Amino acid sequence: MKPSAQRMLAGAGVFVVVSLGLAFRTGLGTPASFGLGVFAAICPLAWIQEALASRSMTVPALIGITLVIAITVVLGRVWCGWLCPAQFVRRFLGGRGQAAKDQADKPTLDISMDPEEVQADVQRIVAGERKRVRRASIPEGSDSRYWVLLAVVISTFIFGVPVFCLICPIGLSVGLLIDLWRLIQYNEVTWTILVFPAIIVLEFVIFRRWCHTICPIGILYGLISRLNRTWRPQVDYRKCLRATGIDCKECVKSCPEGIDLHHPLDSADISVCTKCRECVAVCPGSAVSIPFLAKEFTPSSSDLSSHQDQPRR
Amino acid sequence: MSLTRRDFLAAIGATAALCGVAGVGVLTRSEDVPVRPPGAQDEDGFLSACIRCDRCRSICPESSIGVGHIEDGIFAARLPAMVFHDGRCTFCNLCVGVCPTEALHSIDPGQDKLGVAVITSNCLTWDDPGSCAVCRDVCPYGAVTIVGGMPVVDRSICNGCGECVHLCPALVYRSVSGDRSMRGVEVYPESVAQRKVDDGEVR
Repeated sequence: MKPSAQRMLAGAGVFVVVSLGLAFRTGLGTPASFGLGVFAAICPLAWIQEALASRSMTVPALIGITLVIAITVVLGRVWCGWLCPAQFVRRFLGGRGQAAKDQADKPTLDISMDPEEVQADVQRIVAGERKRVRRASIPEGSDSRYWVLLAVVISTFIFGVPVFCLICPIGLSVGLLIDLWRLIQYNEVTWTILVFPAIIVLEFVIFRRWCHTICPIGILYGLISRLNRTWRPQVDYRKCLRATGIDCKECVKSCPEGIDLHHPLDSADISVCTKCRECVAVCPGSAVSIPFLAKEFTPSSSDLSSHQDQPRR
Repeated sequence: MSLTRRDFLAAIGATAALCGVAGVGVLTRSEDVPVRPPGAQDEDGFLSACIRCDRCRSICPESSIGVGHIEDGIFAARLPAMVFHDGRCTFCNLCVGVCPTEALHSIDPGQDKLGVAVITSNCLTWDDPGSCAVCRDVCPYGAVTIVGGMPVVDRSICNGCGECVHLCPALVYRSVSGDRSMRGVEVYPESVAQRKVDDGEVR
C-alpha cells in the first residue's frame, strides 16, 4: 500500500472515531479533545486559545497538553501527516495535480553537482562534517505560520473567544460530519451544512498551501517536534545512489515539507517532518528508512570507493 | 531571525483577518441564547472556555445535548446547546466530567437552573382548556400547576431540566427542522424567558 493510501486510511479513522461518538455515547471526542475522562489529548492551539480567552488554566487541559506534548515528542508531527482531514480537502480540491503544484511552489533546492562533487558531498556527510540532525534553532521569521500563530494569540486575547476555532478547517470538517449525522438522525436542517464546506473550500482555494503557509496548528506541532528525536528519516549511504555519483534527489523532491535529508542545514528543519514516509517509498535504492532510533551506519571508505570504480549511470 | 516587510505585512494581515472574523462573530451574536449544558449559564465565560470538542454532546446518556448552528451566529456554531426532544437533563454530570476546559460545572438541581420552562403558543390548552396536563404530570419538581385548564410554570421551582419539553405532545410529529420546532412548553435561559414573557410571546 502506498504511503498516501495508508495516510488516507489513518485520516479516515478520525472520522470513524467521531462517528462512533455520534452513534454511541462514547464521549471520546474529536481532534479538539480526544480521550477518556480527563485523560484526553487536547488540540495544542485550542489549549492556548482557551487559556488566553478565559484567562485561566484548568487541570484537565493541562493533563491534555502534557499528553499531546508526550505523544509529539515520541511520534513527531504525525498529526499533520497522518490524521489531519486537510489531506482529504487537498485531494478533493487538487486531485493528483495538487501535489505537483505544491512541488512547483516549494522553494527549490537546486544543488546541481557533477558526479565527483556528489560523491565528495556524500563523503563529507558520512565523515560527519554535515551531521544528519540539525540542532533546533530559533524559528525563522520567513515562515508565515508563526505570524498566523501570533495573530491567533492576539485576536483571541482581545476578543476572549477562541478565534481560530471559528474558522479551523479541522473543526469545521468534523462539525460538518456531526451536522450531516444530525440532519439524518434528527431532521435538523441547518445552513451550517452548506456554510462549513464553503469556508473550508474558500480557505484552501485562496491559500492553496494552507498547511505550509497558514496553519498555526501545524507549526505548533512543529515547535513541539523540536523535542522529537525518534522516527526520523535517515539515509543509508551504503545504498544511496548519491554514493555512486548519481545526483539523485528523489527523496528531496518527494518531501511535502521541503526537507533535504542530504543537506539538512540548507533545507527545512527536520522537526517539521510529518513522518509521511513518501521519501521511504520513493527512494530508488531503498536507502531511506524511518527507524525508531537513528541507526549508526558507518560505511567503510572502501564501500564508497568501490562505488567510485563502477561505471556511472 | 530577521524581520522583513513581508513578514510584517503577514502578521498585520493575519491579525486583521482574525479580528475581522471575531468582529463578525460579535455582530452576529444572537440575543436568543440557547440553554447551555450544566454550569455553562454564564454565556461569556462559556464562549471563552469551550473549544467545541463535542465530548459533552457525545457522552450525554439522555441525548439532551445538541449542537449549535451558524444561523445563530459564528460564535454559536458547534457550541453545545440543550435539545430536550430526546430526553431531559438528569444532572448526572457526565458532561462535566469529560469537559477538557472546565467550561461545564456540576450544579445543584435544587438551587441552580439550566433555564426555565415557559408555555408557548403551541400548547394544546390554548384551543381546548383542560385537554392536556402532561407537563404537570411529568415535572419531577412539581413546578407546573393547572390554572383554568391551562398549565402555569412556577419559575422559582423550575430548574429547566426539560422533562416537560421531552414529553409535551404538541407538535412532536410536525417537525421539519428537528431542534427548531417549538413544542407547547419550551425551556429558555432565565433572561431569554423573562424577555419572551414580557413580550407576551410565551407565558
